[in-house]
Amino acid sequence: MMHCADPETGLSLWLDRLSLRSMLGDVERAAVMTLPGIVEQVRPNRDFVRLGDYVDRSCLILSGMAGRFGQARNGERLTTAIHIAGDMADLHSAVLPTAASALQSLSETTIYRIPHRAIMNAAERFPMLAQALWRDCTVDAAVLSQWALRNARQPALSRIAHLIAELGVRFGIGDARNGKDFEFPLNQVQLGDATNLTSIHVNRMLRQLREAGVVAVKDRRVHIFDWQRLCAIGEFDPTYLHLQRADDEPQLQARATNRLRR
Amino acid sequence: MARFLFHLHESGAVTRDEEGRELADLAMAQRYAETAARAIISADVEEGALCLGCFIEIENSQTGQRKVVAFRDVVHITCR
Repeated sequence: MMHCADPETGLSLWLDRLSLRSMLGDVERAAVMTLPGIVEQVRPNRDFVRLGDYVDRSCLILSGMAGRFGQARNGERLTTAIHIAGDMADLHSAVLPTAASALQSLSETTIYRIPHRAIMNAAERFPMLAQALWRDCTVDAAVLSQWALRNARQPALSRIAHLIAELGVRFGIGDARNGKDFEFPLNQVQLGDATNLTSIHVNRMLRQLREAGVVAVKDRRVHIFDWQRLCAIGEFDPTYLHLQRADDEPQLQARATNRLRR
Repeated sequence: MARFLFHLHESGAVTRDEEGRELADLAMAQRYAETAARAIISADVEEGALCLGCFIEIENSQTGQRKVVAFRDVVHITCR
């Protein structure tokens, strides 16, 4: 996992992610890099946006890991997204400021709270940036859709494999993935909350993956032994993450630009 | 609160729990193990298997106190 407890590095990571999906010029990039905010350190397992809160800032994750979750009346939680460094965890709150889902730190986490006013001002000044922010929210929705499908239709082993593969890709472990490892601060309970399984079931599945020589989770790290099998077990296809570079789709971008200029 | 470990025993194979989870007391831990046992039974039945001899061994990591939750005891079985 990349550590970036300073806003500049965090904004830069987010900008890199936005640029994967949108073509941004120098002025848009400068607008992102100069977004003001407040740095906040959050201890593990703390809710830093609570259900129903009216918020006037969005949270960029600078380091650590956060979960977006819903909660049933009996207190049971289901994590519906995991956010890592460089993710704007609740960008949507800039237009929907009452929190319909909450945010919790899953490890020691540093966040950068950016005023909605600053985000909206930048979006109003730069239409291409507005489109990039819109696209970022749309990708969050695509991930949520994938998680809903996975947790409703896939068996337990597949859910765990899918989540590990997704995080591997999002952490950018590269193309030659066998033998790679990455930081993985989730414990079994948190993994269970993200896959709708009990921690006992999670432990059983992790053992199966380890004994099959696919992956091992040890000392808060995932060790990848067989990436192809991990993806096959998880039925993992990263298309929904939309991590293909925007300049790989020049025609799409040109059409979008022309529409904005009309 | 106490930290309880949940070791899963399946036909001689043991999945040891090194992490556990914090719960108020042994009664809460037992309820959690029962829920987990039913979820595992459900998943196994979907794949055409059922192990009624399996069990979850609960261990209080501070006191060493132990309790067993047998799979056969967490479901009501009828054969009519």
